[in-house]
Amino acid sequence: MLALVLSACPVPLPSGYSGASRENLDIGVSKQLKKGVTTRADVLLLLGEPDGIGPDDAWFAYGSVYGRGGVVFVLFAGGGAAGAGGEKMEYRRLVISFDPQGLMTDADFVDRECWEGIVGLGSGGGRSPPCLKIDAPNGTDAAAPETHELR
Amino acid sequence: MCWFGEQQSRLSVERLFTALFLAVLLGACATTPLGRSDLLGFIRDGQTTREETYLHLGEPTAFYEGGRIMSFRLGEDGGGYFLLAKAPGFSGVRSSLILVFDEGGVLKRHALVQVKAP
Repeated sequence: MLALVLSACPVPLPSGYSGASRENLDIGVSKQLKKGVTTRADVLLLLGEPDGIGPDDAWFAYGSVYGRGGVVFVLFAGGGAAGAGGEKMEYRRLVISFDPQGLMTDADFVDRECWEGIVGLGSGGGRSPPCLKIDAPNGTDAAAPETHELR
Repeated sequence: MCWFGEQQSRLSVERLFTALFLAVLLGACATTPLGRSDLLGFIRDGQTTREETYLHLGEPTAFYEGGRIMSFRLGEDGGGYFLLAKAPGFSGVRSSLILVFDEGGVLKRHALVQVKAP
């Protein structure tokens, strides 16, 4: 195993946001939100379209995924290639809940870092599942914002 | 002399075709910007109506609070902003346009929120 790793080429993974991730979820953003004062419109005007929404707009979820760098060891043999490695990821999720009047009742900000394993063989591959779901609170399913006709 | 004339003529035609070929080749590299600098020029708080918004921007990406709030996804290039359809994640999205209307359907507040860095 050690010989295999030593014979492989290390390829560093640069840091940066995941391609599909939003980039405007700063750690200090929840300080701008006030329970019973901040409205749903205020949140949208501050952060834009959410990544996920609850039934009847009961909550909005905002998330970001940032790669903090890592390395993949690539082995070329027999006209093909295989690789394995890891990348340190930072997941952020802000879930903002509203009462029926549209006033904020709670804001839950979670910032979690974890290592993710990466494996690849030929043109296929995969990585370990994310350590935080960013588009919905734990135990719920995210819904995409409504795109149907006006009610 | 006659042979020289034919040779000159053939060379001119070859040059012309070469120039045309190069022009086509270079033209293929050029991209026309999708964006428009005046795309959002119609937006005025207290004036713009929901109907005007539909006429200028089409169907919103999402509605909130029963349609009182609309959002649009925008990309940006050298020409300005352009509209993007709803898709999972924010690939290619530069900004999220949020429009908040009052009960009469007139724009009350709006913001162009930058969701991705340039």
